[in-house]
Amino acid sequence: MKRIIYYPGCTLHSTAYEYGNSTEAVLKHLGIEFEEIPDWNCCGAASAKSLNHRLSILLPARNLRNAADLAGDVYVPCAGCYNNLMKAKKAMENEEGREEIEKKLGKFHRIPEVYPLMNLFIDDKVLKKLSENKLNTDVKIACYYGCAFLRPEEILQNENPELPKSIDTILNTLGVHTVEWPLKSFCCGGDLSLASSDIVSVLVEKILIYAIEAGASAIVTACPLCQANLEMRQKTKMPVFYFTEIIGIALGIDENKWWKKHLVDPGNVVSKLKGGR
Amino acid sequence: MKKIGLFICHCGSNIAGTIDIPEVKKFFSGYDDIEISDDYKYMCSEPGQKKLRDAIVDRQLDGVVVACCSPRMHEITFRNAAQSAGLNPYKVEIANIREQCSWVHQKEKGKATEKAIDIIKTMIEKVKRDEPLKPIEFEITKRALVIGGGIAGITAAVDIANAGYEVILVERRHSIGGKMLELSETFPTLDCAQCTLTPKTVEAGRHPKIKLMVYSEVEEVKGYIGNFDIKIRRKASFVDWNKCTGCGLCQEKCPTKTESEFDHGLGERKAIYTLSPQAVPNKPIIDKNSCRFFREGKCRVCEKVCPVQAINYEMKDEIVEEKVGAIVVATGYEILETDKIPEYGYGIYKDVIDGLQFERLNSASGPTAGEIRRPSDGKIPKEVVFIKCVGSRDPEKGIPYCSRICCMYLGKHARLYKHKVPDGQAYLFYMDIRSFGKGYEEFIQQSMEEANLLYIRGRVARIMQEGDKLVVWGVDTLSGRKVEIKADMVVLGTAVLPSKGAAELGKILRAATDEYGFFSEAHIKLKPVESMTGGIYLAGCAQSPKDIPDTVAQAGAAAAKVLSLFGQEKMIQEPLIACVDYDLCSGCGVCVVACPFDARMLDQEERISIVNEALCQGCGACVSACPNKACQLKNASPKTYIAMVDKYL
Repeated sequence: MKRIIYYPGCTLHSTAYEYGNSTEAVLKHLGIEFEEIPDWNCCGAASAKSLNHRLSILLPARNLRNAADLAGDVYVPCAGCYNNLMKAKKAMENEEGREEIEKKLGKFHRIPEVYPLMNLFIDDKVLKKLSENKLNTDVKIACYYGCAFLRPEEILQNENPELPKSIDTILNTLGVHTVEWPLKSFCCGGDLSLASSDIVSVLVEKILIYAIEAGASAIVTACPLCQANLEMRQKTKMPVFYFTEIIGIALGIDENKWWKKHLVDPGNVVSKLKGGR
Repeated sequence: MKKIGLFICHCGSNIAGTIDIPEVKKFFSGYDDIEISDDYKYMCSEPGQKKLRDAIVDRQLDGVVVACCSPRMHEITFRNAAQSAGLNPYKVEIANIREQCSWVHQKEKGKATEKAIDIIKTMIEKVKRDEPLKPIEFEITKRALVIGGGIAGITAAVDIANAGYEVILVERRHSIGGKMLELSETFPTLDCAQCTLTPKTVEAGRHPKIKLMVYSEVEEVKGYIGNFDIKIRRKASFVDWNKCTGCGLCQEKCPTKTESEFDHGLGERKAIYTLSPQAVPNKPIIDKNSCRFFREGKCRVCEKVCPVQAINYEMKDEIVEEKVGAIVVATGYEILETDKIPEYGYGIYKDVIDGLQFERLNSASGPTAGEIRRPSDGKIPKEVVFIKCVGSRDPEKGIPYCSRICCMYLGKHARLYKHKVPDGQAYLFYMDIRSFGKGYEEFIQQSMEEANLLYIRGRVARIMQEGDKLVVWGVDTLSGRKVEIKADMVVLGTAVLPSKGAAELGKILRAATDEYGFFSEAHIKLKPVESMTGGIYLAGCAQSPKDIPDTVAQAGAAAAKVLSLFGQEKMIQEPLIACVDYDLCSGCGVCVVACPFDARMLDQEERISIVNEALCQGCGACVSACPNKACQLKNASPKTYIAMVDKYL
């Protein structure tokens, strides 16, 4: 199958360990070869851009430069990392911007394409493989995309920010029912979790209310910050999964250590999903 | 020796401020073939023209060069002046020393004077070689084609027909009236749209000079101003309209119901149907896509019940050929598709409707017989949110232009809603209120002050279904607060787009359309009803979004343009067009391919290429394409131009 360049970012090695671990397990199982960007660094996250614009471009650009030495496209599981890498890519689109970056980082012999991890799975071949591992379950899932994978639209040019579909497509292919609900691309509060957690609590509550109203018993996302905010700041007990964890269950390769990392016990939903294998 | 007169215009200080006119005048006194070299402050003024006329008579001039502004401005002025003094107008040439010299070289006065002399020198060479020409005359077919049977098309057709000329009125749907017939009441007077319009539809339907061709589309247009050959496809209605009496029995008995396009999906109609109770003509068609007989091969109920045997399932489309001299394009508009604004749930939530759907809810002939009941459960909505600029003025998600009618019609909708549901609350989100027409601002003020409509300045971010309510998240930018309204129904003022197929029709007509598909006018200020193509005129929303008063005014103007064309005995065309040196032409046909106006064709017998003088615009494409140099433009032959360049060098 495909060969990709993989940029896990810091979070997938730390707070979102279960996302990183499940991603790698799923890729291995599906026979997708992946190689991490050599000597990759932090993308700058939220900190760099609030302090120094140049740094917030140069940090992700350095990752692109290192990726350029490998063959293939870069796939990014974390929404924040994806957003930052795309902004660096955009900055290199004009000659002036590229010159300035190359002055610091050296010549780029190519600028690799950058995609969100979901896009890897909505490829026809991969979808076909997923469809061979259908879950027979009545668990209803609300897919939640957050902001950073979708906006700003003109830079990312990824999915329709008002009507994203990729995670729904992946789960539906696995036989999992997803609900239609209006807050798929609503903001969870993002980085405000540290400075003004009260705002995040209000936003998360709204998201949870609509997910419950729509009949969902779990939320599935692809963004580590969204996942943390949704689980940490909610007053109910709705588990929030990464989509790779659900694929892992369907493929029968899920591990207990993933579930231990969750702040809301996902045991109930996990066993229901597993029952459908 | 030729006798050429040179007249240099100061154009106030426009030319004289930069170019040393006495110097130029002196240079040309006694210059080869120059009989008189003169100047004047404003050559285009009456005294200036008199100088020119007098010189032609007194000095027996056989050519004139006027050194002044662009020929686009005053060439016609000086040619007419020369003609009145007895000189052939095509022996007058303009040396443009304003736009191409004084204006662009204001900081280099010496060089500008030299350049002006050079420009004049070259034009003297041209005048010396110019032939006297006569304008070309050809016949005009004094019949008009009007495309589109809405208020614009009907107005234009009736105006032209009343002047005594025949009109063919082509309408895509099977009755005329267009969008206006779907409206309930119209701003700013709140009078009933049908009551205003139906006298017009009836007049158009009955007019002896109007040939109504409904359920028809223009398929091919050939020819040129004054002489168009048109092919019109008359779509198969499966009902013989000559026999049909419009009794309506077939509609009553037809067992198949489907969504009504006239009610914008809110009501139902039968598979055999007329568009509305006031349809003109009042004849039904069978909709093949929903008819049970066409889908399943059995039924034939309409055939059985028709008392005059008018049903004919075998009917085929028919192509009708017509000749006309002028065309009015009045193809109207559509509104933005439902899938464009997913955050408002338009097309997803039943109670999020558009402005035209609200018109049907409010119309006595509509699906609720004029009662305001929401589509999902038929309840009377007590909280209704109206949102303006949905897709309009939004270059990122919709279209950048203003749709021009939404501010007014949503205000009107909200007021009509309050008339019918006095205890209901109407909220209107707006960017700003554009109430520019006569009586419009007063209407809006009255709505705010007396009808208690709540205007909120701000945008709506999202609409969500919550139980049987629609939660509207917006912002009030005047107070800087977020607004959340639990509404029963939401009405969107969606963007106005050109009607479907307008751009394709533009190609058929060879009339330019803009990037959105609206027809382009020839000049935005001075030729707002003329298209870029001669003989094709524009009316209503085909050109840009418009309200009814502006549409009717433009339709009247388009009719006046048609009539001023038909008022001429013969069509007069500039003779500065292509001609062929038959001794050099080998009949290869390269010019036929090169011509963008279909003005060139091969004479198969003589094996030479000929020019259709009425179609040729004198663009010169054939001249550069011709391998034998047989094609030439009159008074602009390569020899003349080489002489002009030689003089300059």
